[in-house]
Amino acid sequence: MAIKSKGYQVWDGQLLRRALGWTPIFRQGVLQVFRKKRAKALYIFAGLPLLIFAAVIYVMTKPELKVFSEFIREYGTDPKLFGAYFTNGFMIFILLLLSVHAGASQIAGDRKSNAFALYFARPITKLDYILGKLAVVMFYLLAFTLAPGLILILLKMLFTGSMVIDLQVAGATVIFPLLVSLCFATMILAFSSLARSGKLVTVVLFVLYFASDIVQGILSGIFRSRWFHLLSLRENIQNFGWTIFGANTRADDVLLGWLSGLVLLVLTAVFGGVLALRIRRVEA
Amino acid sequence: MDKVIDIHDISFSYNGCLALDKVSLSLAPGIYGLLGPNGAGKTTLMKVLLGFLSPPAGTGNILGHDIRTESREIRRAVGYMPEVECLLPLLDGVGTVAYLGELSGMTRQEAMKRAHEVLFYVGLEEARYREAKSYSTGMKQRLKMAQALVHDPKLLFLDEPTTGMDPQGRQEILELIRDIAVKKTMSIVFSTHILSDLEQTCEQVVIIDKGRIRTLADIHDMRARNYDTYELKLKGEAEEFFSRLADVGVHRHPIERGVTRIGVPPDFVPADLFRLARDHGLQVRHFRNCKTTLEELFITLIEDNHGHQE
Repeated sequence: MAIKSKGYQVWDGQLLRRALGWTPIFRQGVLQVFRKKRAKALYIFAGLPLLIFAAVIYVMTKPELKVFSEFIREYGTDPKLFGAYFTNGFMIFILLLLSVHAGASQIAGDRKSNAFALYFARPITKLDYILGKLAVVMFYLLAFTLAPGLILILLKMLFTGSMVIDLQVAGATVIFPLLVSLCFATMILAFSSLARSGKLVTVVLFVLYFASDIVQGILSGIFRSRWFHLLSLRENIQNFGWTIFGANTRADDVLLGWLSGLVLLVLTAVFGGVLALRIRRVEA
Repeated sequence: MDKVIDIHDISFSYNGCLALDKVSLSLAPGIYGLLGPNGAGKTTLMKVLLGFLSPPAGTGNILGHDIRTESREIRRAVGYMPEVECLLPLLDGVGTVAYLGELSGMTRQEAMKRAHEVLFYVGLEEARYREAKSYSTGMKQRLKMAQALVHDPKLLFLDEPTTGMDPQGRQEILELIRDIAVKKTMSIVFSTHILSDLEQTCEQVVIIDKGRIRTLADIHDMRARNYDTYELKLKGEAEEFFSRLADVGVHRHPIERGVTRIGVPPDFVPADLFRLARDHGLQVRHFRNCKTTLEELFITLIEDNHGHQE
């Protein structure tokens, strides 16, 4: 017999008061992103750098494979090895793809389907909503940056049989992916909050990413100055990465690296501000 | 609890345009219709009551929770069915309701179990695993109703719940509202501009216009107190006849094809009308007592009110 024919049934349970009101949004978002089309192919693609660098570490730690280690001589130190892992162009492009995959439709989709009226009729705050959405994007970005970075450290210890690790590298392995992921996450969510279409958000992000690179290339070429690197998102990530991992040795490279870090922080703050402002203005 | 809603002097403006003007309202547990023309302030009032909008002036509480400082507690205890078409992207019916139940504070398992229950209740049992985006307008309305009920709120706000529905779907939604009201565990505030919906479901009606509460009254009392209406069709020159009727307090509202609707005072005896018609040499071709619809009452109240303001 259908419940309808029995009439309305009273629920006698107790509603929880969650300290972290954003956790259901996070859990639901992670599952939804995971179920997307072509998600598995992207994850395999995004996992390739881990496999390659795991192999590099193995080769570097085995004297009997000296013939191969000639090819990877430039990664001879930990700062260079881990710096190369986090700042290679492929990895940054993967971060861009993952941001789009996990974040482009997060808020744009809710705007398009008027979901705010449903969300904010519940006992959650706008901050809970933002944190939930941010946590979804951060989860996927960190799953392919921070987590593999920590795995590589463990592999390094395992293959060398030594627990000694450069503290700057260990710290940078945590801080660098956190900052870069936060920058990408706030950026994609800020764009997502401004649009009603995830596809439009994707196009805008790719255009900005490549346009910043092209403008930087042209200006650097004309004026023969590396300071124009500060205009490119990719260059900022790479310069900051090399510096925080301690792979830069020249003073002006180090200065440029820290300035790039500052640019990333400012971008994060600006995009975070736009995101907060947009959601605060939302009327359910 | 004495009052489910108790607000005083609530005002709210959109960019300088006054949407609510010192609204005060006290409602005991029950089912209420919130009636008003488009732009009267119904949805704004609901949004203020739910804490979506923060009024610059006024005080009040919903289910004992302060509307300014305890909006989360209010939204925990209240169910809301929005007027606009809204859904959660990529989710099926049961996923939508369970997720929103979880956001209300239910555990995941409880929310999923309850989602099935309420989807059965609103008649979406067959479609619960379909993506909500593919639902028809009527099904989306039912889904909105289900999500408002999932956490078994103490107070349910329904904003135009029958909008866009076919007559059968509309009747079914009204039937659900009546069923919930019969259980007496939940108070309902039901906003609409479809007056017959209120007549079928509510005992009491709050009339709002231009951001002000015009009246709060029992529907049946209003009808009994104010009106006794007849339809009348005459043959002959009737101006003098109607002039005499006006002298004894009879109102005249021409309808169509010579038929006139007359509102008579409670002590009026219909036989007097026939006598008067005979005295004026008129034939009464049609005379029928008609039930005043809420729509007529509503229009009269709004028009009276505008008349007073002018």
